[in-house]
This record gives sequence, C-alpha cells and structure tokens, in this order.
Amino acid sequence: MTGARAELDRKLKVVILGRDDALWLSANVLWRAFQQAGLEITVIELPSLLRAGDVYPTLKQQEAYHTLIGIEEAPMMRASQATFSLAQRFANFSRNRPPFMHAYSTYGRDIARVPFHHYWLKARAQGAKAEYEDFSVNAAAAKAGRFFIPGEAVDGFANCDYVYHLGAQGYCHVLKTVATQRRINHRPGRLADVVRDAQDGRITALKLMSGETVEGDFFIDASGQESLLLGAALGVKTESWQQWFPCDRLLTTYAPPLSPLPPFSQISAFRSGWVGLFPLRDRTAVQAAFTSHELSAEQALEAAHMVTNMRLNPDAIISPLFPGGRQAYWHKNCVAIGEAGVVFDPIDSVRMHANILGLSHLISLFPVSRESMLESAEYNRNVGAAYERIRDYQMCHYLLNQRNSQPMWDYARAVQPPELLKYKLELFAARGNVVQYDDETFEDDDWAAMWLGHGLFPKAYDPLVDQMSDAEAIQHFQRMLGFIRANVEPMKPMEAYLGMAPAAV
Amino acid sequence: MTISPTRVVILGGGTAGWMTAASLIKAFQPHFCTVRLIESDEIGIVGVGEATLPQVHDFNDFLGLDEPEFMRETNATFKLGIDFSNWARNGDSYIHPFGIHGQAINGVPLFQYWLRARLNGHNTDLESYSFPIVACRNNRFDFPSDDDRSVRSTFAYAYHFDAVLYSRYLRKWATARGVQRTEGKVVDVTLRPEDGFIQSLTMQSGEIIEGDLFIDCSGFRGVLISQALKMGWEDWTQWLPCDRALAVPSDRSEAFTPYTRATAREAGWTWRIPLQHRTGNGYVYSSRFTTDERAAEVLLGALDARAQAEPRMLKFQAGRRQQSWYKNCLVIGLASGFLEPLESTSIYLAQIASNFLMRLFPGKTIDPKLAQEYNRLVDIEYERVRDFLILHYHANEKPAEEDPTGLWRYVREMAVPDSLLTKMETWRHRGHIHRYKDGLFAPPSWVAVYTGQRIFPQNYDRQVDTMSLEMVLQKMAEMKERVAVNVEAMPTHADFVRDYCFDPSAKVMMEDAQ
Repeated sequence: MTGARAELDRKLKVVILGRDDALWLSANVLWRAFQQAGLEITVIELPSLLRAGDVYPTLKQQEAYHTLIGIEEAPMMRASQATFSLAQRFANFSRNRPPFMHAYSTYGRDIARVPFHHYWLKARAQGAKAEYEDFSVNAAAAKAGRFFIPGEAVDGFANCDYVYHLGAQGYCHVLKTVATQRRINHRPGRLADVVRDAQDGRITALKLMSGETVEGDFFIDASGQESLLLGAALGVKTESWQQWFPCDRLLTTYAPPLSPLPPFSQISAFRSGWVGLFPLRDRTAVQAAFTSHELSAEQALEAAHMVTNMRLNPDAIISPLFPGGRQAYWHKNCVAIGEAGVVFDPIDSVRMHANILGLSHLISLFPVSRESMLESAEYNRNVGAAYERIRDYQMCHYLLNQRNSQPMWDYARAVQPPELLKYKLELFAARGNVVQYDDETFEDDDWAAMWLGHGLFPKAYDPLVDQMSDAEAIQHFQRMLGFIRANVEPMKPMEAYLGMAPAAV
Repeated sequence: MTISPTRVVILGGGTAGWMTAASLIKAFQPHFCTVRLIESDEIGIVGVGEATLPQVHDFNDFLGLDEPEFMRETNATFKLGIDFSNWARNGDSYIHPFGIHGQAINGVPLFQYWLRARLNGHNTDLESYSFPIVACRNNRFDFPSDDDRSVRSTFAYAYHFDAVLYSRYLRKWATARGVQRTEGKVVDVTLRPEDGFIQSLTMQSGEIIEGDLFIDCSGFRGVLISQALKMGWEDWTQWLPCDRALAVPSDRSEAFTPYTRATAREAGWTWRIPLQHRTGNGYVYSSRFTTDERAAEVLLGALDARAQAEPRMLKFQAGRRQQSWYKNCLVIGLASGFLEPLESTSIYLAQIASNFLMRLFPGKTIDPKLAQEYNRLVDIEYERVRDFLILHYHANEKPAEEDPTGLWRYVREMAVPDSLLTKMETWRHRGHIHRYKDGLFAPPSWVAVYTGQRIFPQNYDRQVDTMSLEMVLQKMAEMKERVAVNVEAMPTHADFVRDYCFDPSAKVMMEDAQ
C-alpha cells in the first residue's frame, strides 16, 4: 500500500446513533481520541428515556474518563446533583449474617507476601471479633459517615478510590453541553430505516423520520436496549443470562434526600428481589430488582417502601430486565456501546463501566480502514470476556445468598454457575486463593470482600500464615486498625466536600 | 498443638532443584517445612540455561543475594537482549531487547508512529529509537534510571552466567540455611498402596527417604513423574522440530557483548553467550534435517575463538508434562516441559513454577484443587512461550539456496497453533498486540520479533493520526537523538563488569579493557 493510499483510506465517516449516557459518552470519548485524526463524527440523538430521579452509579474508573474528556469534577457534580461513594453496603442477603461493605479500597495489607485475608481467616477461626471490612479505610470511613479524597495520608497503607452517584439527566446534560461546545456535528432525530449494502450486508446509511439520509462508513449503536442497529438491523442475537439472574423487573423511583448524606450506597435483599438506595443531593434514587413471578408492580412498590421505610414517589417506572450479551458486540461495520450490546443486572452498578470498557477497547482497535474491519474479532474476544467476568462477579450475590426457604433465593442458590466462575469459587472455597483471568474488572480484594461478606469462608487458609505467632499477628492487626482509626477520625462528612451546608444534627 | 513440619524432598541438584530448594528454605521456617535435596555427583548437570530474563532479579532479590558477589561467583555478565541473526533471511539481524522501542507519545507506543512514517515512505530503522538496542549495538551497559521520564528507564537487564556455578552458589546459600543435601542415587520409588502417592525413595546406599511432598527436578528423565508415576508428555515437535543440542565452551573473544546471540543455521540455530571467563556456545538442531557429525562441524565452524573442549550432546523433545503436579509429586525444570533456550526461558520457567508452588503450598494434606490451579498456571506459561518460539521459526522467507536441509521450508509451511495465528492476523492488519495478564511475553517483545522477521502491519493505530506527519517525523528524530546521546554517555560493558563484579580469574578481561 502506498503512503497516499494509506492516508486516503483512513478518512472515515462515523455515525453515532443513540441516546443518553451511551450516546454522549461515545461522542465525547471518540471526539477526544480522534478529533484531529481524519474522522468525521455525526451524532444522531434519539429522544431521551431518562426521568427525574434516575441515577447512574459508577465504578471507580469513571473519574479517569472525565479527565480524558475534559470534564471538571466539581461543576459536573453540582449539575448532576451527584454525590461520592466509598462503598456499597449489602444487607439481608443472609438470615444470620450481618450486612457488609464492598469498599472501593484494599483491605489490610499483605504480610510476608501472603494476602491479608488469609491472616484474617485464621484469626476468625480462633474467635477474633474484627470484621473483614474493619481493615478497609473506605469501609471504616463509610460506616462513620465520613468522606475523604484519597491521597498521601493513606497511600502507603491502602489503595483507596471513590465512585459517583450521578443524577442521570443532569449528567447527560453536562456531557451534551461539552459535546456541543466541541462543535460535534449532532442533530435530534428518529430512525426510519437502515440502508445496507446489498452485497456484504454492511450498513451504508441511516434514514431518519425527517427524510434525511445520513451516510457513514462506521456506525456506533448507542440506542440502548432497543439495539436498533446491531440487534434490529443486523440481526445479532442476544445470549440470555437470565438463568443466573432471577430478577426480571426493575423498578425505579426516588425518595426525599438523606441528611446527612451517606457516603455509600445500599443494597437490601428482600423476599422477591432487592432494593438499592443511591443518595443524590436533592433526592435519593431508588432501584428495585424483583421477580414478576412473585410481585405485581404495585406490590413491588409496596415492598420497596417496606424495605426502605422511606416516602417513595408513587409514579414509579417498572421496566423489564433481561440480562444478556449479544453474540457479537462488533459486527460488520457496527459496534454497540452500552445496553445496545450488553444488558447487565443492575447489581454492582456496572452499567457505566460497561460503556467505558467498550469505548476504551474501541479506541485501541478503532478501524483503520473502511474496507476490512478485521479488528472486530479481537474486539469481540476481549470485550466479550470482560463482560463475562463482570457478569460472573455480579452473579455471586445471588448464588451465595443465605435467605433459605424463599423460592426466588432458593432457586438462585441452586443454579449451576458457568465453568470459569465455578472454578474460581472452588479455589476460594478450598484455600482462599483468588483466581484472576484475563480481562477482569474486579480486583482480588473486590472478590474476596464480596465472597467473605456473603459468608463464603474457605475451608483452609494459606499454611504460611502459621509461620507467624498469634501474638505477632495480633500486633499487625492492631497496627492496621490503629492506622485506620487515626485516619478516619479527623475526616469530615461528605457535605464538606460538596460545598453544601453541614447537615443539621 | 505441635504440628510436625511438611517434609519436602527434591530430587535433582541442577538449577531448577537448587532454585526451588532455596526459595522454600527462604519462605518457610524450619518448624513448618523441611527441605531435603538429593543429588548424585555421578549424574551430570545440564548447564545449557546460561542466559536469563530480567525476572531473575525478583528471584535473587527474594533470596537477598548480593549482586556483585553473585556475579563474581557465577562469572556473570550483563544482558540487555538477544541478537537474532539470519532468521527471516540470511544477513538479517535484529535485537529483541529487554525494553521498549522509544518512549510512548500521548500514551501510544512509538512504534505505531514509526509504522505511519514507514507506510508513508519514511523507512527509518526502528532499532535506532530503542535505548537498550542501541546500547547493545555499541556494547554499552549501565543500570536503568529510576526516573520514569528518562529514556534511560526504558529497559531492564538480565545476566549471562555459568549455570553450574549458579547451582553451586545456590547450594552453598541453601545448605547454610538448612536445606539438607543428600548425595547419592535413587534406585527405587515406593508408592503408597492406598492412593498411589509417593511414600519414599530408596537410595543406592539402602537409605530410605520419606516425604510428604516430592519435587522432581531430575531433568529429562523425570525419575518420579515419568518413571514412577507414569505421567504422560504432550509432544510439540510438530511445531518445534529441534531435538538435539551440542554445547561447547570457547575462549573469550574480542566481542564482549551485553547480549546473547542466536544465529539461524541450516538445521536449527546456534547460541553465543559471553561470560567473564569464556564464551558458551551451542547448536540446537533437528536430527530430521541434519546429522550429528554435520552439526558438530557447523558448531565448531561458528566459534569465534578456540574451543575449550569436545562438544557435548543433549537429546530432548519439545513439549510439556500433561500434569506438572500429580498426587504428591511436582515437577519443576526440564521434566516439566522442554522449550529450547531460544528466548532464554528455562530459568524463568523454573522460577515461576517455584513461585506458584509457594503461593499454593499444600501443607501436609494435599487438596487436589491446589494441583489443578498449579497446572493451569503452568500451562499458560508454557503455551505462551511456545507460541512465541514458533513465531521465530515460522516467520522466515528463506529461499532454497539459504535452506539446504529443508528445515526452514518445513517450519514456514507448517500449520501453527490457532492461538498464534490469531495474534499474527491482528498484528498484520494494524500492529495491534493484546496484552495478556499472565505469562511471557509483553507487547514490545512481539514487536521486536515481528518486525525483525519481516512481518509488517498494513496499517497503524488511528490515535497516531491526531498528529501531522511532519510532527511525527520530528518527534521520532528527537527520540533517536535522545537515545544516541544517552548511549554515548554509558560505559562499555567490559569496563562496567570489570569495575562492578570482576572475577580476577577472568584474565582476558584485563587485556580487553586496556
């Protein structure tokens, strides 16, 4: 290939069709990565499906993308009524175990190259009272109602992060405003038809209801669960994950704001599902996943009210929930970002992460030629594996429940997990080893904290732990607890970091 | 409650055996685990693994070895990479460095910018942007910088050493810390009737040695895993047809290189490993494509100084043990898997195996889950090295006149594993390399071998387009200049070794330095 030909072939017309988070994140991230790279980006904005009170809880990787896009944290948070979160609290997943925190930080420190949880397991077997989460700075701060911006004070001891609860409408408005300021070519529209090449079946243009035709070389489907391009037009099927996720309905509504603002979110299981509370500044977002075999819409709202004991907005939305991934996320000249490709169960708040995961792989594999998009195979392998590892993590909340004698939960406990997860669970159950595959989102400490929190206690711990005397181990523990106490004590409530007045006590 | 210690018995005192013994004695206290190593003075040690990878630092640091002392004791020199000569075509030469090709620009590796320049007709030498490669080409050495902004931080280093001396050094270190060494030959292995676990080893002297965990480091023969436990071998000769090696030391020569040299030959390849006091040489070849006599002729003809002995022959079969941990027997070293030393992986593979063992150490009762996980981890390592080695053979363009034996045509035309095929397709299309979590090798290594063996992508990462071509060329020129200036300031490898870790018996060095 000659140089001139190579450079010419790289001119690419990219069309992004979609709405809300997936659309505006895609537009901003791609513009940022390729603004001067000969891409012509057209954004077609479908009508938003967002309602007041909708929330996007994120994972910790979100912050880095805001930096990339050029979004400042404080104004973005103000505009989206956002709060920070240090952990997610899981309650009532067992009849006789206390709630636990999945903290966005490490737990304890390795001692003599052995992961901390092995020492904790031994101490627990000997009757020690300290919970695993007591060794997490984030969990300790969250339980004390304090917040902190991770920095030098804790750096040598722990890796600490935070996530956001973003008011969905406000957040999308911020993303859209930034995109508009960048003069990204965009227009509102509705899709009328998809034009495909008669020979190879790839998409050549989108016809809009307005009569306009938008031609392109490469199409990004950010249309959400409708999956207008990848699913509807190209016929890429979904592989259902429903056998592992017993909830088939999602209720969303909101309640009055909490004061003081808890620096964590909470997931509380009940007989027919669970209710999640996500603090925002002006209200509290509520999500409830449940099974329609047991509850009607009205009953679900009633249950959410019972579980939260909060005044809920009665105008709740109930939407079907069918977790699953597409057989391909990139097919021909079309990539799906977000729910057009993969629908996750809402537990663990992975939706926003799935968006940026798809985008980051897309950036490093962005097609270099109109003619052959061989990248799709590599993309599908890597992204597919990454989605499945996330799915496996989420699945454990259901699989490991101890709400015995309740039909939905009994079913969830009896389900056969996929092979790779089964192996992980067996290894941890045998000896506390955390197996990590390629393309994992959740780290060792995330897995261990979740498993231990749900009461999956390994049969044995690493025998190397026995090399340390109990007295010495206790000293280590006390030093860690002392460090955490000393650091959490001076922390302030979250309001201080959000420029809000302190809560009335 | 007093628990009696886990008794570990290691059979075989080569590099793998002593590395394993040293790790265990370092990690475990005597009340927890005892380590006994059986070796026979009669059975020769295969000392072919004399070139290492940078990971060996982790091992030495874990033990707390003193670097200059260790280097003096093992006649070691520094290694920044491997020079591959005559691989794609006779006359070609490239270096696989322990480092990257220049520094990333806006988070995108420099070689992607180089690809763009190349596709636009600016055919510059990729090696000239790599600090470790330019240092190799100039026979320079210095330690990497801690400042990660500096081009002097873009590499790691390893060693060439005498593996027999390294074993001895580790033996002295490990026995001083409690490893019990038993000299003698094992004549019988007794299995427990109820479960087929190894119960004891019977020595020629009549002594019976019992243990809880047996580690087979007996090399090719696999005395425990193969002869006693009958664990099978997965054969990889269809992809890696070399099955013999001849090894010979020669006098130190003029070229005191901070790199290993691997030169493709008519029926395999020869290695050249510079030590302080001599040069290690060998010829890895396929008996299907040449005779032993001809091989000896090729090897001796390739020496750049006087041979110090008659060539010694080794026979092997590329492949791996179907299970490296079976019942209460683990196998580490050559009996676990054999991959020719083309990328200096044998010591790394023994090291990583003993790491896995420490992470999964069973104690007295062995949970089979631990063995399963160990085998999974070991398999990943071996397969990834295997694919990388196959690439070196497969990617050749040798015409008939450069291929008198037909070996090179065979490996070019053979079907390669799908795992490799996929990698090559993605590379050819646009220079993309997926970074996997476990195992060798990282993307820069693949870049070196692909480009060095004439496999070039047809396109490059689109992120590079955010810069004008003029700007790309300018940034590349700056990088080249920065590399050249910094290499110029480095001492020569010979000077560095003399000042840092010189073994006085290596007299030739003094003459070299003057």
